Order: sequence, then C-alpha cells, then structure tokens
Amino acid sequence: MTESTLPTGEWFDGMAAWSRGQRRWLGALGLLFVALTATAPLGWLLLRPVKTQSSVPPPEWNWATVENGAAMRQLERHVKESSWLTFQVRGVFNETLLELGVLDSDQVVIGNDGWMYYAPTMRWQPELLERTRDRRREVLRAALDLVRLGGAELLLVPVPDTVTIYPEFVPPGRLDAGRTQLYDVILADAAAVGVPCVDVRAAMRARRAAHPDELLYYRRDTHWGLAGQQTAAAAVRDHIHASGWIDRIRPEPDLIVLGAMPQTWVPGLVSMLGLRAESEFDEAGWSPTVRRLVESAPWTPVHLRGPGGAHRHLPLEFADATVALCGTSYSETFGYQLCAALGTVVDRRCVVPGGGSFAGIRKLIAEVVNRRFLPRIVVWEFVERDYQIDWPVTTSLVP
Amino acid sequence: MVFTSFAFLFLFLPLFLGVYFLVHPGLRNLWLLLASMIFYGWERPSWVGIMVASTLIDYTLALCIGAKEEGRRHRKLLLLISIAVNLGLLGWFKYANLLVHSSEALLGTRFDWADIVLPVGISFYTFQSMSYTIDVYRGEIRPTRNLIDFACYVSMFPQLVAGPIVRYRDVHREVVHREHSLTKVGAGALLFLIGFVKKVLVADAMAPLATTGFAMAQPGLVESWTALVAYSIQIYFDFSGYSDMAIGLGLMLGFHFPRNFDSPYKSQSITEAWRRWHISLSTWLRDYLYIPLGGNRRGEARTYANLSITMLLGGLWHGANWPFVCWGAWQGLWLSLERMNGRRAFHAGLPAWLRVFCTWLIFTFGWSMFVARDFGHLRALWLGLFGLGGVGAPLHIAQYEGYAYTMLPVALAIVFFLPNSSQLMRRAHPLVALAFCLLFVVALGRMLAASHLPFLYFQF
Repeated sequence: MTESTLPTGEWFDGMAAWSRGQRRWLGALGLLFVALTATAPLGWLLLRPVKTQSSVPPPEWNWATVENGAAMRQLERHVKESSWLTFQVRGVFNETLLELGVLDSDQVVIGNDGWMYYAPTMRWQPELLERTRDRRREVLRAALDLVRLGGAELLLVPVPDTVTIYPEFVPPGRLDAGRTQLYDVILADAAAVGVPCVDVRAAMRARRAAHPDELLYYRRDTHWGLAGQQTAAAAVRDHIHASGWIDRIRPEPDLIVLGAMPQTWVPGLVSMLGLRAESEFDEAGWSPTVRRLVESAPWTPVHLRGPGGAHRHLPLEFADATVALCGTSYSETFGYQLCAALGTVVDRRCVVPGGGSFAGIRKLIAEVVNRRFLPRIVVWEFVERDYQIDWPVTTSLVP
Repeated sequence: MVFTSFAFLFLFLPLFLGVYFLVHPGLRNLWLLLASMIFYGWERPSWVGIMVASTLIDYTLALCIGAKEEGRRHRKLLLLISIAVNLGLLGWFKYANLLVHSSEALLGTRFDWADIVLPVGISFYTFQSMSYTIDVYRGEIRPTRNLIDFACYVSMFPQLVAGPIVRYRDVHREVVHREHSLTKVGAGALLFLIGFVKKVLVADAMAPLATTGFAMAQPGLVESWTALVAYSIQIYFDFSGYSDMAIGLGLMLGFHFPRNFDSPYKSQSITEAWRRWHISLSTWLRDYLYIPLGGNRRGEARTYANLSITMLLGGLWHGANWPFVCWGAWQGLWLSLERMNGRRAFHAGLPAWLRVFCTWLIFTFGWSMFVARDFGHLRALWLGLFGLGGVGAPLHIAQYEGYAYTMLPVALAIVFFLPNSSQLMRRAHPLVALAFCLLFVVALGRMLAASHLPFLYFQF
C-alpha cells in the first residue's frame, strides 16, 4: 500500500554496511556533540554568570513581550552573553584573528602601531552636513540664548576625535576624504551664530608639536588621556581670560589637586572587539592578548579641604558654583582638570556619560530655566563625531 | 528559533535531547511534540495556534476520508475542504498583502490595511499536512488514529521551518516506531556539523556581498554580477546547509528524512537541476500538482502548459511577490524548451564542463528574479547584468571583505568539484569528521563573534 517517494540511493541506506570502526568513531562523535551542547547549561549551573559590556538583563515577562517575541529575543541574548562558553569561544576566536592580523570589526578600525579608531569617526557625510546646517545653527543659537537667560555665558568646547589629532595611524583607504573638515564646520557654525567656542584642535596640535612624545589620547580608546584633558582645560582657561570672563569665576581656596594616580585599564575599543576581558580594571579576568592591549590611564583627582584640614572628594553638585560643565563621558575626568585649571569648583551634575552631546546641555538648561541652578559660565563639551548626525527634533534644547 | 543560534544549540537542543533519551520510549513522541511547539512558538506563541488548527482539521478530515470507503462524493468533498483550509491559510497569510497592494496599485488608491505577518514555516507544514489527506484520499496510506503521532509528524522541529517537506507515507513507520543508536546520533551530528559549517562559514560570508549589491539603486556590471554570483552561492549553501542540519537532527532522533539537494549546480540541464534542487518540493509539486494536472499524458501542448503552471505556482509558493512568479516562469520556460528539445539542454552539444557552466548560469540568472523586490528593482538589476548600468566597481562591505572575496571562488570550487554532503556521509571517513569538527569550532566562533553587540554607551 505504501510506496516510498524517497529518491533512490540515500546515503543512510549504506549505514548498515559501515564497519565496526566507523560505528565506534561515529558513536564517539555523537557523544562529543551532545556533551558540547550541554557545556553551556552545565556552565550556568556550575559557574557564575559572565558580565561584559555586551551583557543584557533578563527579559521583563508579560504577555505583550512574549507575544511580540521581545522577551524571547532578550532571553536568548541574556543567556548567551552570560555564558562562559560564549565568552571563551568568542574571545579565543577574535583574539586568534587579531594575533593573525585579520580581525575585522565593523565598529573598530585597527590602525598601525597599536592604534585603534572608532569606525564611525572615519566617515565624512557632506550631504548630511549641508542638509542640517540651518538646524545645527538654530540649536547652537538657542543654547546660547537660553543660557544667557539665566545670566551665564556659554562656551562651546568641541572635543576633537582621535582621528583628527592622530590621523597618521589610520590604515590607508579607511578615512573618508574630507573628514578632516568636520572640526572646521563646527567652528564655522559657532562663529556664524556668535557662540563662543574653544578651538581645542588647535591647542592639541600645538601641544603635540611641542611635546611629540606625549600622548594626548589613548591609543585604543576614543577618549582623551590626562594630557589631552589638561591641554583642553588650559585652552578653556585661556579663552575665559581672553574673553574677560574671569571676573565671573569665584576662586576656591580649598581646592587640592592631587598627584597623578596610576591606573591600568582595558580601553573601550578593545572591549568592543569581543576579547576575553570581563572587567575593565580587574586584571584577573584578562587574557594574555588583552594584557598586551591594556593602557595606562593615570588621573589626577581633585579634593576639597574640609573642616580640620581633612580631604573630601569633590562632589558633583555645588549649588553656588560659578562654572558648570555639561557633556559626555569625556567630561568625567575632564571636570577635575577644569577645576585645577580654573582654580574653582566646577559643577558636574550635567555630565551625562552615554547621553550624547545634547543630554547634558538639555539638563542644564532645565535647571537654569527653572532657576534651580544659576552658574555664571557654562562649559558645553561636545564630541566632534556627534556633530555629524541628522540633528533630529530630540536635539531640541527647550525642556 | 534557528539552528545557528546560541539558544537552539546550547539551550534547546541539550535539554531536548537529554529528556528525549531519558523518558520512556512511549512518551518520546509527546515530548517531541511539546518541544516542537516550544521551538515553533519561541518568538510568536500565537503561530502555534494556527499550526494546531491546521493539524486538527487535517487529522479529523483524514479520519473521515479514511472511514468512508464507499460514497466517493463525500470523500472528495472532505478532501476539497482539507485543500481549501490549507490553501486558505497559506493564501491568507502569504498572499493577502500581495493582493491588497496589487489592487491598490491597479486602482490607484490606498486601503486601510495592516500588513499580515507571515508565520514562519507555514508553506512547509501546510504542504506536508495537505499531502497527508491527499494520500489518504488516494488510498496510499491509512489515516492514523493517534493524534499525537500525527501532530508530531506535522510539527517535528528539525524540518518544520524550512523542510525538507516530508510526506507521511515516508515516515509513518518511524513516527510510530523508530530505532535509536549512538551511530545514528553520531552520523546525524556529523551531518549537522556539515550543514552548520556550510551556513555559517560560506553562506553568511556571501550574504553581505549580495545584500550590498542588491541594495544599490543602479548597480553596474561588476556589482550586479558579484552580487548575483554571491547570492547563488549563498542560497545554495544556506538552504542545503539548513537541510543537512534538519536531516542530521532527524537522524539523531531515528528519522530518515529524504535528501533535499544533490549537487544541483553540477547539473548539465535545467531539467536535471530541478531533480537535484529542493528535491522535496519539486517531487511534491510533481506528485500533487503536475501529475494531477495531466502531467505529460495529454499531448505536448498540455505538457508544456502543465510544466509552466507548476513552475509558476512553485515560484509563487516561494514568496508573495510578482518577481517570484517571473522566476517560476523562467524555470518553466527552460523546462518546456528542454522538453521540446527531447529532454536535452540546448547546450547539450558542448563539452561537459561547459554544459555545467551554462546550466549554472541560466539557473543563477534566475536568482535575479528571485531576489528582486519589485519590477523596478528587477529592471535595475538586469540593466546592471547586461552592462547597461555602467561597468561599476568592486563591492565594498563593512566587515570581512577580504574573507568574502576569498570565499567566493573557494565556494564555487566546492560547488563544482567537491563531493556534496550525502557523498561525504556515504564515505563516513574519520578525517572528514575531524575536519568538520575543526571547522565547526571556527564556525561557532564566527557565529558568536558576529553576534557580539557591545553596549556602545558613547555612540548615542
């Protein structure tokens, strides 16, 4: 009754004729395969979960997230990223390719002499910049007007991307022609709408020329190093002096600038390569390749002398600070250098790491408009690469 | 859930296999059914409901058809209901959007219509389910009374999402009783590894080239041919890799699924290529569409018409888009022409290697219709392919460009000169297994590396 439609000569028809040896090694392969798939669940039972930059929390369970698949997708991501198997296999794979010189990342450009660059900073989009010119200038002007409403002056501090200061280590063909003009676009926009702006690029280039052995930026991170921060802070100080705004600043005699504290860390671009580095600062979790790629990141904290001469950490908020800094992760330690350069406390409540170049200024304007905080000078740190965006409505600064 | 995901390999599969081999053999089908439902409903639980409904309807109708030994009219009516339900489901979920958008274009108006999301695998399980009722109607198999066995057959996760299309008559004995052995687990695992490597190391490497080329508004000669050849490799390694994994998983569970590919690009004619490409679909179309239409028994003109209809519908089955119909027509045209030529290719007089190359070229050109989003896109592609869109330049991709361009000729060499999965399995040589174990580790690294999405806190 039943007639098979199987094509003739299926390979498994010959299985019966396989030798005992073939059966044995195939059986062993079967066991090995099942054991391999079981390593991840066993790892969850026996080992602590891995936490990396790529980790995500478990999903939020409700009918909507289950029905639209979001919960399962996040669960997949969560279990995968917390698995030591993923951490090890991915890490060894990427490290092997890196050692062989063939690792290719869509986020990181591996440059010469140990340099790495954030891939989006390689792009030059003249059409986009042409299209967004009016909107950009409108936003800059609005920021100036809103800050002045509270009686303060605005100082734009565009942070040059690493590639702007160290373009010579970019591999041939990776940097878009014309990309070096982006910083000029920022300066031109600021000048066009009368927003005071510090030319940090010029300061950095001058510093580089004077101290060729000094590193202003990390080799394998997008951020500036201590010397870069100090150079920028000095440029801000010079600009304030030149603008006649120094009277707006109240000096802080209890400020204590400590000596440089040594620190070794896994730079951000190395973390983005998916190597075996579980923690930025704990070298116990670093693979040999990662150890080779870590960088020294000294920093100079600033303290305040308290009652009885005791030191205390500089708080983020000072209700009566005359200078406010708003910005991104670049400002986290730049704030200390600014305090040191200006000799005053700098309020850093509007430093929003991960918020992009607009979150901080938006937060500050909300404070000023609502008269909760009225500094005399607002320093707006702005990352160069953030300038080449579509300037959507979310860049609106009015709270 | 897809086979090349962490969730499948390291969560679903070990838990499934562990329970499967530990439970009483009488409960294995129930566990397979439950696991298949989880597999299928992983991202969209509501899709399980559609499959369950289709399963229950065909199970019931087949029982009724099988019970009515006499009274042919009722049996026919019941069969027609089954076909209508299955095609209705397929039509609604797969073609309603096409119908609405085509009507909008024709009438120059916009309807208040929210696009329907196509449930994954519906094209495959409706065909499987439909073949069951048709075979019962034809008296080729007896309907099963065991609902779990039948539901297990329809929903079996190894081949549920992308085939091979398995017919009940091919596996009904194994659904009821199948033998398990460590050798089968090992052989299944080896085939799974082969498929995994094909998919991750070859198909996924070609994907960016194809996607980048096809995304261009007007690709030049170089871009369009690079993209088309890359796609030709990608679709073969992707689909045949998936089939290998499905057949391998089936074998681990004691099932013998039919092979789905047999080196189609080594064919010397389009007729031969269709005997080697997506075999389970082409034999399904042959048995349930071409032959019922009359096949080649009603004269030459009718034969060509039947071939064309079968391939047109086969094209439409692949996707709800008019260029798919063109692709079906292209294949039907060549099949008809070769039949007119005495089942021989027009290039039959050429040396064998050139026959293979010409056949591959015709088949590959067909992919331009398969990938086109609409006729405007197809036109741009054809202009590029015929050099009317300029010479163009080599395609650039964001990542692993060197690997992709290296893999392009390597993959072609594999396609044309190396044995296929079935041939490798037939020999079952330990060195082959060792090589694929090593490649699997590399593929696993690549799979996990590709999914590395660090939290880029500073990019916002």
